[in-house]
Amino acid sequence: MDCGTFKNKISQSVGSLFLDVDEKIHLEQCDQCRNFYEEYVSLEKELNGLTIEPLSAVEFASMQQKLDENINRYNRRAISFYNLFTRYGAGLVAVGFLFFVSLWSGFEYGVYYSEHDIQSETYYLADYGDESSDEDETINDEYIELLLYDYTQNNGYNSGDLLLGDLTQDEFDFLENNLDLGDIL
Amino acid sequence: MDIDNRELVARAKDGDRQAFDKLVKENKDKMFALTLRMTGDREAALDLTQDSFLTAYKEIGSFRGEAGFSSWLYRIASNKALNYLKRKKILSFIPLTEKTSDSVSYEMPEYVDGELLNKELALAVNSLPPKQKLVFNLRFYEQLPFGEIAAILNKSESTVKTNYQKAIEKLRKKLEGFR
Repeated sequence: MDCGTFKNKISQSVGSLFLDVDEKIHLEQCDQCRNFYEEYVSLEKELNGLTIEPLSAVEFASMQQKLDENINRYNRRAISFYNLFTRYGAGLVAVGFLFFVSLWSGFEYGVYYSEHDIQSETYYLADYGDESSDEDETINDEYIELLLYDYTQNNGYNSGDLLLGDLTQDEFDFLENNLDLGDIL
Repeated sequence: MDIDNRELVARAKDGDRQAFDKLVKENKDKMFALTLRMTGDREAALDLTQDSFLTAYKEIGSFRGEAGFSSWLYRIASNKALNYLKRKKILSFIPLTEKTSDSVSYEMPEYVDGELLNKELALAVNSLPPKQKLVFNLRFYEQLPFGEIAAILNKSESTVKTNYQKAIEKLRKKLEGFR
């Protein structure tokens, strides 16, 4: 038996240590291991002397009371959540359903009309005024450039289709006469 | 886990408060001893024990019964004790109050025996790093096998053994220096 194995066995043991014959012989022959063993036994004895005062009945009663309060509070919360859900669950499901329906209705040809469209319109109206008042607006290259910029910035992919759908006849005529639509859109 | 205990756990899982209370009574001393030895503070130990049982009550539905109920409780209490020590260590870096130069950052458990050697040894146990201290307490005082401690701490058995040996070595040196 080597000293390392013996010391490992000792330092991992707790309580009464069982030594087999080989270990007993080693202990008698090896001074270093004997010292280690004696020190360990002494340490164990000292550590066993470090007793703590156990939980008293009064302390337990106070702890139990606090535990009961916390458990009751937890149960009340769980029950109230359950009640809330059963009472308003149907309403919540209906609201959720309506929300999804409203989202779904925003899809057309695979393009999602998000708030960008609204923003686009807002910018457009802010920049160029209401369509009904566009009669005085001169349609020129700058006008078209701004219009295209607005649509591509706010709608990204498929902005061409959107633009074509929204153009007034005057705007369309201008584009047809002045620009190569294939290159732009 | 014995049959009675298993039955109690099953009943507690079904929401039987009396069964749960019985489990609390059966395990309170072990959990309190562990948390007290870990924190060295009786009030904190009471709070941690209470909090461990509250967590057990909330989470008992997830207890699968692969390990013993007390092992599962030890796991909860160990995590709470380690978190407490971590929080306390962090707070000790925040200068809320002025400290005297010779004050220690941990408290001494109220050991019954007040001899000098015992005090030194208690100080040495308290100054062990939290994880070593936990392994040491679970092995030495709670007398749990290394395999169970490894399962409680979710570590390998060899890691747990190494932690324990390191703790013992530190305490042995402390005792050696005192003599």
